Parts: sequence; structure tokens; C-alpha cells
Amino acid sequence: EKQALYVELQKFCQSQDDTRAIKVASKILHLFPNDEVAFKTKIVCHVNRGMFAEALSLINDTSKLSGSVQYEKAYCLYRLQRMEEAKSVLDSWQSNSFKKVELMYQIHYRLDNFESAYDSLSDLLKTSDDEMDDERRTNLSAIAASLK
Amino acid sequence: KPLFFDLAGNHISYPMDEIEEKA
Ligand SMILES: [K+]
Repeated sequence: EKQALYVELQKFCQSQDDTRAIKVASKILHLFPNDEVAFKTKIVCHVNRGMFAEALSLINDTSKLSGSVQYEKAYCLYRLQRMEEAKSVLDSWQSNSFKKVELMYQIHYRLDNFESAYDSLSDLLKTSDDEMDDERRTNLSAIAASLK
Repeated sequence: KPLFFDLAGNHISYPMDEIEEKA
């Protein structure tokens, strides 16, 4: 039964049908409340739909599974303009990941910590190599303009 | 306000490998 539900979940994620994917993920979680993959999928679907407050409530109400969605939690707080809390979640998150730095410099920028934002993004651009580098350089210009 | 992109959201994606493993 679980496998059949995961076949459905895979299908809806592949077609980016977040509404149906949420329903299937919820079914899985109803049967298997400790299923981290279904939980993370449900959170991602909510973020995709712009349902940041709902995603945050789910994360806060499900502390036993929240360890794997700390980045998503910080991002929801960022989108909800709760920058200090977003920063606090990221600071506590044990990770040296690239994406942590990406979100952190954005939070610094929104908190008017322009020097920290500039330093973080400059470092990031030394190692980054993907299709977002042009946008990152635009962000660096925005930060540099604010430094003056 | 200068143009500033939200790139952090692009790092959020379905856990497709784990989903495929369970499917
Ligand atoms: K680069």
C-alpha cells in the first residue's frame, strides 16, 4: 500500500501537481506518521504553492520530522518577512551547504547588514557555477549600491 | 530599490531520489 502511494506521489511530483501531491503525502503520513520523505515532499509542495505560513505551521507542529526541513523552515520565515527568526534558524542549522550561504546573504541584505551580505555573496561567487550566476552578480550590484 | 533576485527558493525541490526509492 505504501509503495502504491509512493508511485502516485512520484507521478504528481513529476507533473508538478502540488495539490494532488499534498493529498497523497498526507495519506502516507496518516498511515506512517514518521515518514520523513512524505513530510518533506508535503513541505516542498506548500512552498511551491506559496503557502509559507501553512508550511511553517506544519514544520512547527511536527517537531520529530522537522530536522530534515530546517532550510525550508528558514526560507518560509524569510518569505514571511520574519528575518531575525529566519537567521536564527539558519544559524542553528548544522550545515555547510551552498544553499545555506545563499539564503543567509539574502537575509543579511533584508536586515540591512550590507557588509555581511557582500562578503557572503562574494565568497559564494568564487565557487558557484550554475545558471544563477548572472542573477547573483545582479544581487551583488544591489548590495554594493546599498553599501554606499 | 535596486533589482534583487530571490535565488534561495530555487534550492527547494522535491526529494525525487528518495521518492523513487520508495515507489
Ligand atoms: K562563479
